[in-house]
Amino acid sequence: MESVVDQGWADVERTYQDEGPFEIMPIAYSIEYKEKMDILRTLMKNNEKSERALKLTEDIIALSPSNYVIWKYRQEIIKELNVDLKGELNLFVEYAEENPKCYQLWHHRQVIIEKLNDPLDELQFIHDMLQYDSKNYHAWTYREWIVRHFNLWDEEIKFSDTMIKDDDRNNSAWNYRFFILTEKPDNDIEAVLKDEIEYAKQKINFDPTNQSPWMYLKGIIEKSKYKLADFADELLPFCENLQKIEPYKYALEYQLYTNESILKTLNSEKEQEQQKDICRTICSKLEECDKIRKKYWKYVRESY
Amino acid sequence: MSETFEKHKHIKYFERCFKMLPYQYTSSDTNRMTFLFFCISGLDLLGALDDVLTPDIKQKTIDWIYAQQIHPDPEIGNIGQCGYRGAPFLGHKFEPNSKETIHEPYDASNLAMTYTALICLIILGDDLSRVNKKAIIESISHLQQKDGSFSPVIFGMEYDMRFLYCASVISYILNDWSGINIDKAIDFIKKSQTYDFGISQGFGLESHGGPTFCAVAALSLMNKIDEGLKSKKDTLLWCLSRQVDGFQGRANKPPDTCYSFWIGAAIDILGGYHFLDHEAHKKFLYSTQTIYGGFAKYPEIDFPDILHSYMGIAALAIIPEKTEEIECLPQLETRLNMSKKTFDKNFPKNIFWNNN
Repeated sequence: MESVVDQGWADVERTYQDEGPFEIMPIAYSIEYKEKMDILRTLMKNNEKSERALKLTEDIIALSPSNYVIWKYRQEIIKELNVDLKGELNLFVEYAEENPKCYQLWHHRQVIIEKLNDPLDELQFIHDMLQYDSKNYHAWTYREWIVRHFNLWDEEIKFSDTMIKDDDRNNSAWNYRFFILTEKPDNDIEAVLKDEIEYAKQKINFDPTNQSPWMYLKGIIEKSKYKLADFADELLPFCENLQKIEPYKYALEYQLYTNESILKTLNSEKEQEQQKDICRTICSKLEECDKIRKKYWKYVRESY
Repeated sequence: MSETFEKHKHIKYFERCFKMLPYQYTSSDTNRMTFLFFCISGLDLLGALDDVLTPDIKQKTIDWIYAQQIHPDPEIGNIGQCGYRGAPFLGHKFEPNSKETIHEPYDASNLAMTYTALICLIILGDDLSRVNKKAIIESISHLQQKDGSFSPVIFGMEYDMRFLYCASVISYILNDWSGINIDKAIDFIKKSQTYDFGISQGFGLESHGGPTFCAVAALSLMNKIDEGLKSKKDTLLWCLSRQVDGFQGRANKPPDTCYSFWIGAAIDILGGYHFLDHEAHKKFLYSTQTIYGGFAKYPEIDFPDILHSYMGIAALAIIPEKTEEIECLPQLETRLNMSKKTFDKNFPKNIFWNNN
């Protein structure tokens, strides 16, 4: 190992980790990590904000990217030294490939972009990150932040469509579509509802075993001023047509929710009882079709 | 790999971890307290804590935990920074009996570490008499954000559901909720419920098993389940829908060992555990055990890690009707994620509860 002392640390006293008389849950640190931390502790204690400290934080971040304290220290150094912030973004790229789910890396990027007060090419960058893992929660979280912070809503429905086209089982992309449609300033759900129902139906037709468009369909209707019952004439036959050859559990679930929604609109006891029978029949089918949850569907059936 | 529960291999695995974690854990050097929690609670669930940790080592472990506590600084007042660090990584002196901490730059407690430190102390039979309750509760109030969520540390980090849970457990253990604005916390939880009634890390994000557990458990500790969930029934159904054989954390994702705990525990708290298919669930969990003991994230991964190892065992402990191979596991206190038996035995010793 290259000795860290040769790199100009001779003047720095070492601060060792004090474990007391018995080390609990020790980690088999590498010599490099141990020696560099011994120096870094002293620098942090003195709050030294220097080029060499900046470099050392990078060395240690490479070994321990989740160390939020060191990230904080680095951010303080950056502030003091007027470091080129765009260069900091490259640091992210270097480590994100190996640690795409490291909270601190994403947080640092957000801090830098916020300071730059410029969204740069971040939307493209996030798209690139999503190529590695299209469901990366951090990437989607960051995208929502960018879009909201810099008011970049316009192209985002198209983007959700791109991602859903790539993989229609990407539930993150469905959730994102919902987020854009319902949070965009001056959004008007009722105005897009018809198109969105069509959109979900199209994806369901393509693959009725995909839960994401089913949940989206229910969610977007319930978010509007309408109830599921209001779309029963269109969507109950849609569910039935799908199941001419074989039953699909999500179609049955959707039928159940819609029929429960209708039940709430009925006043006469007789009508209610007929409607409950419809619900019970669907539950029985679910008990057959969704075996892993059969105890639950039985319970629902018996609860009407 | 296995078709049954490999209890003895798991004991050996945690015993090895307790002695030394491999180099790869350096990447989470600040989180050693959570690793200690996985190890101690894991051994406790396996009924092996007393065999692996002698009374002397237990006492030393308790002292080590107390040495990570940050107390108020009498000079400058380090408000919002009291509680526990995850390890002595900043180089402070080992002082398990101290009542003051001389503040140093960047030295701050972390809610996840405070939570796991307190649970470890309870499992080890400590009465919490060295815990600086007042300072911790005061710090919690500085970590809550305007939207009701919590940051783990005072110098602003990610704010999400995880730390709302940690703050709730701490408040519950210390029997003092004055550090949390409960209305705001509930508001945050409500806003984090998505169109499918699962719960996300924060407003607008995708519903996910981890925050769903955190929110449901926090609400339960606050005794506010009905106020905090838009529809308890629909959140339960979202959770039940995550069972594939094991549990997925989000719709259309593969099952993963740890969600057997996150989702399983949420279902348990919501009172729906008897609806599950336990056989399919156990079969999946057994398949993620590794030949070295411990559990991996997925069946196709050969090496265990400490988080999934603990979560696998905790998940099995939730199952109310224990078949022969898991009979050895005590029931889980799911909200705190520790053995119910140990909780019943040790929790009343906790000085913040027995004086009331």
